[in-house]
Amino acid sequence: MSAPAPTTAESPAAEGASRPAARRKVTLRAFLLRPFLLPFALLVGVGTAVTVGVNRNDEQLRLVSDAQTRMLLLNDLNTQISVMENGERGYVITGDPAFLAPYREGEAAFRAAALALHDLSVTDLQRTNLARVRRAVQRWQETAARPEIAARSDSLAQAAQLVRQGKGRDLLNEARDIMAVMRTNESGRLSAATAASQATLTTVRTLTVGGLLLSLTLLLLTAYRVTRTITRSLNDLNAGAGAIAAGQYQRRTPVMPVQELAQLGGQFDRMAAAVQDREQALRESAEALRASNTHLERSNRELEQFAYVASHDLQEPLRTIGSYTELLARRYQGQLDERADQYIAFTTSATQRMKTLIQDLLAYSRVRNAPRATQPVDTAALVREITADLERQILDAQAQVTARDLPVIPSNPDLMRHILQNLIGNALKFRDPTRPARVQISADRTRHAGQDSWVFHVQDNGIGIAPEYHERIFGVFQRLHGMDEYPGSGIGLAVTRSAAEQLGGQLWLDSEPGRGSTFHLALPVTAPPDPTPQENPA
Amino acid sequence: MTEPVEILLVEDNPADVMLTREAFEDAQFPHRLHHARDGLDALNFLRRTETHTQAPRPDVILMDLNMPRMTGLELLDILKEDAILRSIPVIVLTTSRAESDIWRSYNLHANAYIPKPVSLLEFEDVIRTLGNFWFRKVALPHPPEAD
Repeated sequence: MSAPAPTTAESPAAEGASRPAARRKVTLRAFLLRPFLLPFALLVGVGTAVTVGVNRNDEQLRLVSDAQTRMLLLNDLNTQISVMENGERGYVITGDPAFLAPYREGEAAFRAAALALHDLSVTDLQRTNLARVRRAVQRWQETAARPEIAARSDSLAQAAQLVRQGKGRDLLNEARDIMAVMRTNESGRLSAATAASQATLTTVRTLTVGGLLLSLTLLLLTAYRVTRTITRSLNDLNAGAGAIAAGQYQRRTPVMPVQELAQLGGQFDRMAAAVQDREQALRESAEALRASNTHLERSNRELEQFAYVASHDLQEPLRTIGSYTELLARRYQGQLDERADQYIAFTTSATQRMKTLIQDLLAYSRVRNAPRATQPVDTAALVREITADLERQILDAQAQVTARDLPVIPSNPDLMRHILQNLIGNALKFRDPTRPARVQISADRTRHAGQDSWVFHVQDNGIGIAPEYHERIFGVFQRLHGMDEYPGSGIGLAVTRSAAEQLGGQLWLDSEPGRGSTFHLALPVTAPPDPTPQENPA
Repeated sequence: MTEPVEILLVEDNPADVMLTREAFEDAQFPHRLHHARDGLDALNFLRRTETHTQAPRPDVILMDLNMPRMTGLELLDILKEDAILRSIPVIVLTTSRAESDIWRSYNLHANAYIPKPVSLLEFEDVIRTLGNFWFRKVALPHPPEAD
């Protein structure tokens, strides 16, 4: 029990080794989609880069916008400072309180602008600078503007004295200087932000165009490569399958790079192998059949040859026996005693019977080996010839033989003669001794066994045949009567039926004992091809 | 015509030889029947060799086909190739009724082919007819130097 175990354990491995690629191959989907991953990833990258670029650009544009707003606010601060200064100076010069209104409005606007700028400030420097500006303006208000306004309400000179000190102007100039620095800074920031935005846009554009072009190229290349591989594989498979279909069953389809195609190829290969096996089996059985057929034909031929040769060679000594018995009878009749004459008579009649037998056997052999040449046979003329040959028997039987409606048919004249001669001969032989024999030969064209046929009838008014013997009479050496009653070998009808079958026809009979028999011979109008060609041994 | 006809019978079966001899005697033609037991013996007779040094030239040859040593067809082939012997008429008398035998015999220039009848009466009839025709009606050839 231990011996077979390794074999069974090995077999799956061996099977796996025979087609190792089939299992590990990529599927068609993977084969088609995987190459597109790289260009697809590239596209995603381009998209991401564009998004990031656009976001950065947004940021930079916001910075630009903030810088611009701050510039505007700085200008506004500058303007409000001038407005406050002009208002305060106007009041100091004119003493008209109407000038104080712009001063106060400028003060409020300045404060608001400074607040807005503070909110927009992003660096400490900006905030420090703004604080210094506000401090300078506040100190101008505290130390210059408000004291001068207060002094003017007393007198112009007092106020002019304060102005002349120039303290206010210095403070405002300081504020203006700081703001100039701030503007310069802001302007630098603005142009830097604008440049950065520009650079971002350029990068994004370059990335987008380059990435798109690259992915497009990759896509085209991949698609080309995939379709080329698939087309080539399918063509190879098609060629392989075509070769198999054309009958080269030993061929196998080429190795396929894709699982599904490999499976398809495998199916073709299995089909080819199955057909190959079946063809082999068919060839072998055909070969065996041919061999046994040849053997059968040979033994059949040998058997027929043997029958022919045997009957032929039997005839030779028989002829000598017969001839010398006759000579003996003729020359010594009456010179011997009565018993000797009786012996001679028995020998003579036995010899005669044996002659008939051998001749019938020879006829049987000849009919079995008759050449199958077909030619027009005038059956009416044939029957005339036969009745001429049988004239002696016809006269003996005082028979009346009539023929009507006999056609000319394509058939074998020898076989037809044999059949009709046998049937007419039998009709004369088995006559009823109590009445003159009547034999009628006729034919009609009709359907027999589904085939357009000529059916010949040989009708007699003889002794008839009981139904139980209707088949038996066609057997070889079958006799229904004693030799002294009706002589014969019992071969005649067997030969006749054999001849009918060789013509592709059928022979049968209707009969009523005491009334007569009718033999029917049906011959298809289109005779089938000869099923077993045989050679004439002679 | 008073000269007896010289007949050479080539036949291996002694019973048939005797039958033929008796049939000819019954038919009462002036004749001399010589016998050769096969083809080789017949050639010796015709060429006057071995035991046949005194043999006459036959007027007619009757031959069977199936014989030992040399068959009738082989003998026929040699005879009809022989410038001196080919003028002698050859009648094939055999049991064979095979088409091939008949065809080959005539093809080798046999002058007649007679299948041996089965019954004695018919056989005697054949011999009588044969004698009537070949010995009474037919003018047989005689070589110039023989006269």
